[in-house]
Amino acid sequence: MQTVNSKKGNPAVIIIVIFFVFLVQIVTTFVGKFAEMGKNAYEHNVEIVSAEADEIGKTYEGDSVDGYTYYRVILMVKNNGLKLENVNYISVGFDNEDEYYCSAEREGKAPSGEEQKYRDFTPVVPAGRTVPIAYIVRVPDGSSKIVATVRDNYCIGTPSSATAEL
Amino acid sequence: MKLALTRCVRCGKTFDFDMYSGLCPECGCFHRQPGVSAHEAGSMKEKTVVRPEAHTLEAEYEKHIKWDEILGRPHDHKTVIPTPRSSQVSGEVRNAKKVIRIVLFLIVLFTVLTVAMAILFEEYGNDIGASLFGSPNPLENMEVTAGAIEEIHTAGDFEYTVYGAYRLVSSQEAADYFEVEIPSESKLAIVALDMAYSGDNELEYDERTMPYVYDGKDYRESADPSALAPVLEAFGVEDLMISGYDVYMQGSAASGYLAYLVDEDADMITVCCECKSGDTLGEIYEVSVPLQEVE
Repeated sequence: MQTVNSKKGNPAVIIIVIFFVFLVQIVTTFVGKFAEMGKNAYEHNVEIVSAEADEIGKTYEGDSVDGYTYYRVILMVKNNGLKLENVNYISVGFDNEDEYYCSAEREGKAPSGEEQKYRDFTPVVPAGRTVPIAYIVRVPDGSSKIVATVRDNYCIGTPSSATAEL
Repeated sequence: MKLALTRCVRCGKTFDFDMYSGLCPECGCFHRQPGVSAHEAGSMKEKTVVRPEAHTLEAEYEKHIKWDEILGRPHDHKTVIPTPRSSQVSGEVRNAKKVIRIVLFLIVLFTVLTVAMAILFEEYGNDIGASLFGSPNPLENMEVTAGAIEEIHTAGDFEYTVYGAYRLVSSQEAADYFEVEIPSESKLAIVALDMAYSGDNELEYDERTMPYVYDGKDYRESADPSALAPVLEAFGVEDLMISGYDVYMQGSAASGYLAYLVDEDADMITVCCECKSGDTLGEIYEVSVPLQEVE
């Protein structure tokens, strides 16, 4: 019938159907992603239980920089998740500087380089454990605190922070 | 009754002028009444048949059907309703404008929705996901169990047996004899063990947790054997190394060694085996073993 045919071929209906399908697809995708991230919330979940800073001095292993003092920062890191985590990097902020990522050298250990030999020797925080992690941090003179932040291996869990008074 | 037959000037169809009020039933072309001047026809057209209303079309349709029945002709639906071209064109324009408005609205809606979802996903994905789909505590009832060498231990979806640990080389020996560089404060050790998986689901690669060790100072995960191949080959264990590809399917098991870089001063290490059951870590099975020298 002519009337029915005109409805079938209505471009507006076709476009609405196509957009509706796209809409359903994107909502479905995001719901899936949210579900995955919800799972991450308990799979990847490291937190700093406490942070303490001990002053080392103006020099550390022969290195010194004017205007900076070296501190040993000891973090108690707890892994509430299911995955064993490396804590290679911490984000360190001071009260008079913007926060920046710091590849702080582990005390008495090889730096966390890209080579496998170092990664294999990097201490880890197993699931369900609380582990002390010590870092040597160079802090600008005049700072009153260090704010340390850790994230999981894949940076997909919620970051955790703690403050050490200087 | 005398029929005023007219031949359409456009399509050539012959039709009754009175029955169709001068409109060709085939193509809708308007025709002047025979014997009427162009001026008169123009004024009549303006008054009556510029754009037939719906009820007029219905009446024409009914009349046509009636005459078809009287004359015994089959109904030809295609030629029944005249299609006024001017109204059709204006209707198409209206439709096109409507479509454009709908498309623009949907594009804007689509974009806003996508951006909003992306921002939510980036900023609050974990929290929203946890609140929507639940965030069970996988460590709620976790306990640590101490075991002994050569003891078969089954918990969760796993079974472990630890046989012993052996010191292979120090960092200095690795460099001198095998040209393998490992961190100076470390030594290479291997742990002999059996492990088996009996869970219902196949483990994804990132779910295949190998046992880790505690060397008295730090926890260490197993080392990549490929970087240590010359040493492992010299001790005849290169082909016996266990990897995540060995134990991940239901019923799969492996018997062999795992390599660890541990503190150079460690004489004893604790092998820690996670006994997961699905998404829950219910138990960590620990076995303390001395590091034995290998000739």
